[in-house]
Amino acid sequence: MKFSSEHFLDNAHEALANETLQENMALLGAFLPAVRDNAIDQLGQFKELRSYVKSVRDHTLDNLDHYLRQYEEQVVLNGGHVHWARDGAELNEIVLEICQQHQARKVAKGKSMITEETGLTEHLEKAGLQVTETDLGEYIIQIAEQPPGHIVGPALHMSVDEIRELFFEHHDLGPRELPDPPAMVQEARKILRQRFLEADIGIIGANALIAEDGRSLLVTNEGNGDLVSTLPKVQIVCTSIDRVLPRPEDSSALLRLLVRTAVGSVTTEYVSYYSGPRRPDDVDGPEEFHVVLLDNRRSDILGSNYQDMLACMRCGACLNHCPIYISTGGQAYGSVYPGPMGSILTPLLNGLETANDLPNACTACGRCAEVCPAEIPLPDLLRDLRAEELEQKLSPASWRWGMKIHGLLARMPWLYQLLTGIAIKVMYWLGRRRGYLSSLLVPNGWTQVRDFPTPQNGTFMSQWKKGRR
Amino acid sequence: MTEAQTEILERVRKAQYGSDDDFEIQQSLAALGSAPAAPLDFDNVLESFLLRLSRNTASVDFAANRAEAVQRISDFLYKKHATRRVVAGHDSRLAAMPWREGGVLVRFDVAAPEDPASISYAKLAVAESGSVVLFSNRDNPAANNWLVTDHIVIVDGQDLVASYEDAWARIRNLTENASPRGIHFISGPSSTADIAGHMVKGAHGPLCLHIVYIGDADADLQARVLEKAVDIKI
Amino acid sequence: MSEPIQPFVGLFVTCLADLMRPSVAFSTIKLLEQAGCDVEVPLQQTCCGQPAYNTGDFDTTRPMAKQLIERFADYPYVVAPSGSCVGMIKHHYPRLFKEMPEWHSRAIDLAERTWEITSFLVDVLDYRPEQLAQASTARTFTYHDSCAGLRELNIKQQPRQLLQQVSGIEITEMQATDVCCGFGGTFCAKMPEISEKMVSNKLDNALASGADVLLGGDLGCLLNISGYASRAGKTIEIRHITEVLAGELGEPGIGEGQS
Repeated sequence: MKFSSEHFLDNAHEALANETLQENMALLGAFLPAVRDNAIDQLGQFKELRSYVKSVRDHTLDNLDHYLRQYEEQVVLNGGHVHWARDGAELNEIVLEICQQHQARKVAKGKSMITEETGLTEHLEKAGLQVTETDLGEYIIQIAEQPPGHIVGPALHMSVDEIRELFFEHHDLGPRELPDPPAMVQEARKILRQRFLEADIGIIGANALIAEDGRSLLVTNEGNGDLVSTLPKVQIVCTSIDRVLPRPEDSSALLRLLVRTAVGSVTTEYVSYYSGPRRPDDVDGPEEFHVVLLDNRRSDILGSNYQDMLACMRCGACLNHCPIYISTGGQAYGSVYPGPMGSILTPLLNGLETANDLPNACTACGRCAEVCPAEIPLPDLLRDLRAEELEQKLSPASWRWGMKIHGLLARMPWLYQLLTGIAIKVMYWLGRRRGYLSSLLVPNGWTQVRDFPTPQNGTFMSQWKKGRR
Repeated sequence: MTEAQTEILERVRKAQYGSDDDFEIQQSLAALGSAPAAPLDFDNVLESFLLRLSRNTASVDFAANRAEAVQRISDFLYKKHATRRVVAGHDSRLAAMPWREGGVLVRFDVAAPEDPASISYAKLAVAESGSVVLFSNRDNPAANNWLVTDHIVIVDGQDLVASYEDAWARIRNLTENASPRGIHFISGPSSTADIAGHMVKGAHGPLCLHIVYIGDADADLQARVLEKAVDIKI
Repeated sequence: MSEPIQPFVGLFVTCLADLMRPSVAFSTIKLLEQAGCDVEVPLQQTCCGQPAYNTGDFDTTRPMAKQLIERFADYPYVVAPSGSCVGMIKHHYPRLFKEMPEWHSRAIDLAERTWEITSFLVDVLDYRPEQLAQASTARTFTYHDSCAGLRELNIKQQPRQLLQQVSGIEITEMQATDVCCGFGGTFCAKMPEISEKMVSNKLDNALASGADVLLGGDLGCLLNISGYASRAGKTIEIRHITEVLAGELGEPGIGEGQS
């Protein structure tokens, strides 16, 4: 499978034939929506809460430069450093420079979608640094040398057996049994503990940035992000400019939705707000604190038709509820952002011409928008991208012309009804005995996998006009 | 300002629709009101807190006062680790507890990797999520929250609030003069479901979060909580 | 809702009913007349424009939408046997004409008067006959909730309520009634393999429910499921809900040959 959005259809083909993947995805597609429904039922005021959080987001995006400047001021007041990166390459360079300034050799990372977007780990490894992903899901795909399959649980497309094999292969711990997930987690804890203690640099992401007090929010269950934020001498937060919120209460309102929607719990084990290096009388904590703020097209998306995408809280619900995502898995999308949100974000970040299949991988069923805690009109944005594809002539000419011809005919009802009257009669006569036609002469997507049910004996309009009632 | 920062802020300003006036921005934010609350499982805040704790797989001991709390902690440490030695931060409330009377030997320091257990004194507790609120500072070093196997957290009944918003109101007061490096809402032992969705308690952080609640919590209340905990699906 | 006397209804046939299965339109008319409506079928009608709209071709869609808006301008009620077409009219026509104030208000006006058939019978007419029809023999039915009807129009309980009033019927719910069948208009032809996976899941669920007959409110879905069932060599009777509600079970089901 080629990890590239251009190969979506080929990747999907492979994915559909992969029985293990299909089994795992079916489980994911049954389990995560069920726990989400449970938790949202318990919450009660889902629509009201998401509408409120949306209003705060809209307000913040409307005044983004004000809040970004306020955030930076506060971080600096607390003794931290703020860096600005126009694109992924700049972010990678900034982080590498900080590492080199400290003659760092070992880096421990918490989960950060932004660093996946920019390919930071690869960049640091090329420069000779040892980078350990400490989030268990990220660690698993790191040793598997696979891209992530889901934005919340990057290894959820893998089965217990597959992961067990990986541990046997990569952990030099002699003959032993790993009978179940708890045993495997304990082994990972042992292996990774050393990495926490030895790391020179700790890198984490941020679920939100609080402008009022310059804090960055880290939401985890494993405790790895907090160890990474405590033990190494230097802490670096990699995040993007759209994460900022005005007040800490706003992040709590967000969390009320985020955790329930993503994993079906009221809260995660650890919700941490970090605001800078150790204070003068602290006895532990990093000596230096850096925040790298990435733009990478967010400022383009701001003020555009697609601005609502900036409110995405990376919960993964749209993925879990999307029948296309469940059929193909995340890696087929060739992007760290798959599923409905990824089918919008990936073309916006990387250019529509490199990912033009993604907005078409959608039946507009609306299940994603129904559950989206950020109230993003995902099917509408996907359709808008398809409209852009049309303008840029990225879709096949046959489809474009087909639609225009149909549109023209439809505006001439007398001609439309005349032609369809004939065509339908012919199809009826050809297929009435069997009830279906297995071919429509020209190879097409319908008859490739389906038969075509035979129409009835004449169109409604022709019958109605003849007086049948 | 670097070139990158200037460019980014310029692009942002060109794209957005908002105001230049700080006061106006503040007003329009305030006009949005406050967030709809999450439901509490009981009318009683303490019962709700305890129910959430049990759903989060945190364990709880009850104590009427600090002396009893020391006793509970002593029993807990001995049962789990056959020792009464433990590390704790420099929180003055911790220093004031009658450890010696309970036979507990406290080292006031940052936790080391070999420390099996640590004790923290919560700043607050939040009922809506079953969380304790701790700061990272000299009073409670961050390592004490995450390096150990058993994290013991003392909670005073008077520090229990209902919602996140209530918590932030109190945190603002507590941090008025000094802003701690970290503010943490801790709700259970570390966990992960990254292996094929199987929920495992005990990941990189502590395997156990043990709450010692100092306040009124009679046997009836505890029974009520246990009964309801069975029915709740989340 | 108050019950209007002799409501005057313009029938929007929809292309799939017109071309593939007129009995759906005839059943719809029969139901509406049974419920006391006066039904007219404007002849100069074709398509609501969904295919072009969903491909992002808004310029081709708008003239089709304008045609429909004009054709149905004078009917107090417009009814169609399709959740997706009605969803198109109610939700997407106003969006299409966001930048054109005159057409925008005409679109909103039409949107307020347009209804899917089961929703019209239940939510507008509050139609509760003692017995709607007779199923020809006692059989089990299961119902597929089409995405647009479900999510754009809140159609879920109405078809089931009407089915309860057909005697000889037993309803059994299948798993995942609310998961897409893989039709999605042009999607099923653009991405056939993924569509196949989705329709295969849907068919498996329908068969696993033990029902003899699969019903739905949208012909696109039903043609998709039927076409796949036939290719996969699996049989289940597939019909549009209006056929059962109107007692019109004489015609072969979708994809069935003449016996």
